[in-house]
Amino acid sequence: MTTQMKEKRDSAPTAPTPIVQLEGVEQHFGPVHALGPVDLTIGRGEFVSIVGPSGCGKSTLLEIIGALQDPARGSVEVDGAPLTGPRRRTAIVFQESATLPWRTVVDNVAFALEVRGIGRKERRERARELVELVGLGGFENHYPAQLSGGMRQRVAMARAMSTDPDLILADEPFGALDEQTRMLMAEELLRVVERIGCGVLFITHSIQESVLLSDRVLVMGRRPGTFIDEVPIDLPRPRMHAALSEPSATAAQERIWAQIRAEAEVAMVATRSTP
Amino acid sequence: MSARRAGGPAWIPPLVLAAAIVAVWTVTAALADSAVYPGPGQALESLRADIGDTRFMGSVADTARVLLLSYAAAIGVGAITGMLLGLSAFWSRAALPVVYALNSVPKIVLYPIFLLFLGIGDLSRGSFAFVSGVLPMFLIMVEATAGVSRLHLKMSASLGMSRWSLLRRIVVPSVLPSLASGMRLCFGLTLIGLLLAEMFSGSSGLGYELLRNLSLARVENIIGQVILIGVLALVPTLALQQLELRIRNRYEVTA
Amino acid sequence: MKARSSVVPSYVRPTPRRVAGLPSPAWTVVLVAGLVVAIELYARSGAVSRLDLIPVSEMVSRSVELLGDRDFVVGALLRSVLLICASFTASAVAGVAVAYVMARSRWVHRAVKPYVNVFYALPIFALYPVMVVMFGTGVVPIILLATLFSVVIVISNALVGFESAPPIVTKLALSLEMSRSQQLRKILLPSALPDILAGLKLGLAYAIIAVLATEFILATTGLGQVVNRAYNNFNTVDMYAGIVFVSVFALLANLALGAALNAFDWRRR
Repeated sequence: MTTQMKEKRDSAPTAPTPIVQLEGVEQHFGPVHALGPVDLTIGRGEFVSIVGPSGCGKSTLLEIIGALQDPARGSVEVDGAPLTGPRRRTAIVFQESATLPWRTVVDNVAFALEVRGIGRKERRERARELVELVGLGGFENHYPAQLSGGMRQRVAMARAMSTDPDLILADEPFGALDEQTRMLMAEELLRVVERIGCGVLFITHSIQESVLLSDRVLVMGRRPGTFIDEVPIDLPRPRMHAALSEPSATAAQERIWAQIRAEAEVAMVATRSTP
Repeated sequence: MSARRAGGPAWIPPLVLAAAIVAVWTVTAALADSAVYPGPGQALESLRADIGDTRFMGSVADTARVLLLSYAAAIGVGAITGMLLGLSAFWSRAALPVVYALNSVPKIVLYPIFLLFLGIGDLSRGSFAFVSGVLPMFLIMVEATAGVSRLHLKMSASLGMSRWSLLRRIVVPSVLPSLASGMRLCFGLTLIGLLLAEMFSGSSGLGYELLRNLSLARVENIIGQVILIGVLALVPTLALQQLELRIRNRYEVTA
Repeated sequence: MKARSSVVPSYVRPTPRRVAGLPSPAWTVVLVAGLVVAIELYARSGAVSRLDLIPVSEMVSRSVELLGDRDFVVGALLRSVLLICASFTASAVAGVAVAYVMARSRWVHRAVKPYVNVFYALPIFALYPVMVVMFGTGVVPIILLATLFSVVIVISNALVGFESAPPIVTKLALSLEMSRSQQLRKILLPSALPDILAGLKLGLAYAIIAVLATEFILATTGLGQVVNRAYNNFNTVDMYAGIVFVSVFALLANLALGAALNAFDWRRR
């Protein structure tokens, strides 16, 4: 299955049935027009990032795809079918604090499997494998409070992978981590995603991070958020941090920054009223 | 290490303070030499006499029995109803102002209503103690349930969790620390409610004993009993404090 | 509100602004009105004796009448108000002072804090009979007990405030070489103010409870005693009128102080 996904990634970024297809999606909160209209297509196994100033509606868009918000308008299709509720094979990675403080590392990772009614023995076994995979071997029985922020984020990543996802939605997952840990975690995420070959929608405010990770970076303008630019990233995979200093990567970063700068300057003044 | 450098173990200053208060009490009582101001020795002496008295011990047992029942009911009812209301943000917003208002009224003046409808006896006293404890417990649990981490809710929703599963796996563990502190707080409040009720309309119980000795002008007995009540209140409170500490260590959301 | 059905699990949907066309404050009113009407109808239905319950309308009209009664206003209401004010003022001043000393002295802090922590677990009203024997049934035991009962909540809140001054601000004070009184006036008090105000609000509520409870248990006059006496004289109308009066009085006093203190709170600006 993994090789199949790889093939698709190599041949064409937009395969016949994309994993995500949005048309004319809009969101309003009361009188506030928060998002859209937005069209978005994510191919199978494609890694797409959205960058934009804070409060522009990036997270809103992600939550709409994850069935955590109803859009005010527009159609949302995931895996070729209209969204009817949270999908089994969509995994959402939140910020690190989404780990449950009263559960050990293993039980946090096994949580999604537990909710789906998988027996105690089997889910623990699979959770242990995943804990090993994200490099937390030896910490199985620790509680989140005993871990660093980066380690907690690994727990959240392992939980997201536990349900064999074909789509991962990541909402600024490394936002609360320091710069060095962020970069390590980003490389870690790439490794894991390439292994299971799923599509990813990655929300971030870090331009570097988006360039390092993505096949495509979408730049969102300030509220109501719409896409103002689309930047393809043509760097060979597997990528490491050093790839950022290649000419095409620096060019992409410059281009995104130029797009976002004007938006950010206006948004900075208007930020006080955003939720 | 640092605690030692800053003046010995933590329990020394409070002990010194307590000793100083007892010393001042002893000296002033000896100087005053008054029937209405007995010293600690006399108070403890009469407390020992009281404890040897079967009628008095019957009163203690009555208070303990009614307290235990009304406390258990207050915790159970307050926790469950509070959690149910807390699950609905809209209805919490609608109902909470009324409950907060009710809770800020000096409840003791409502006690005659209990007497009119339930008669004088354990039932009315216990019910009043129950009401004294259940309102704060309810409020604590509504707030705690409403405060369950939004991120945890979203995470659960993304896994398609049912309401029941959410309650069991997320809400209950999240509110446990508040439940523990509610249990500690409400013990004292239930006890106060019960003692006030006993003082007003008792035929037995510790509150009744206090007022009986007041009419007999036996101050040393009153003080002795106040000491006893203090000890009886402190022991469960300290135990509940330990419980709370353990639960907080494990369940509190720290990040 | 929306035509299409939601795909979102119910517990993460946004809170509805209205239910059945009414916003939540309107439902609060409906709730209270419903309770009042239910009691009114029950009392009028004849299912309950007039000795046990009277209609709410009679409770209210009688408690309004009480306001025109000189004996009630001067002998009970005014006296209780003065007692509450006296104990509240005493506990406000003493509470903030004790908390300041605790914040300044590590030893005092460690000596007093354990007692503050368990204070409200102790049924402090048990001391009231002791005070009555020592000082008689006058105003002294009531003020003493009410002050004692309300001072500790002021202490614990003010202490939280004094201790919440950010360390960086304390370092700033040191770097500016401020004197102790300057530090108190310019840094400690302002940064502790919101917590002190919260403590004062609770302090008033506690003072009211203590004064009314002690008056109710044993006193010669006062608001609490009015209810007690009416109950013992089988005067159900006056008893309910007194209860309504006390409840409304307590509510209004707490709301008024809350509103007044919020005006000083920089966190609410």
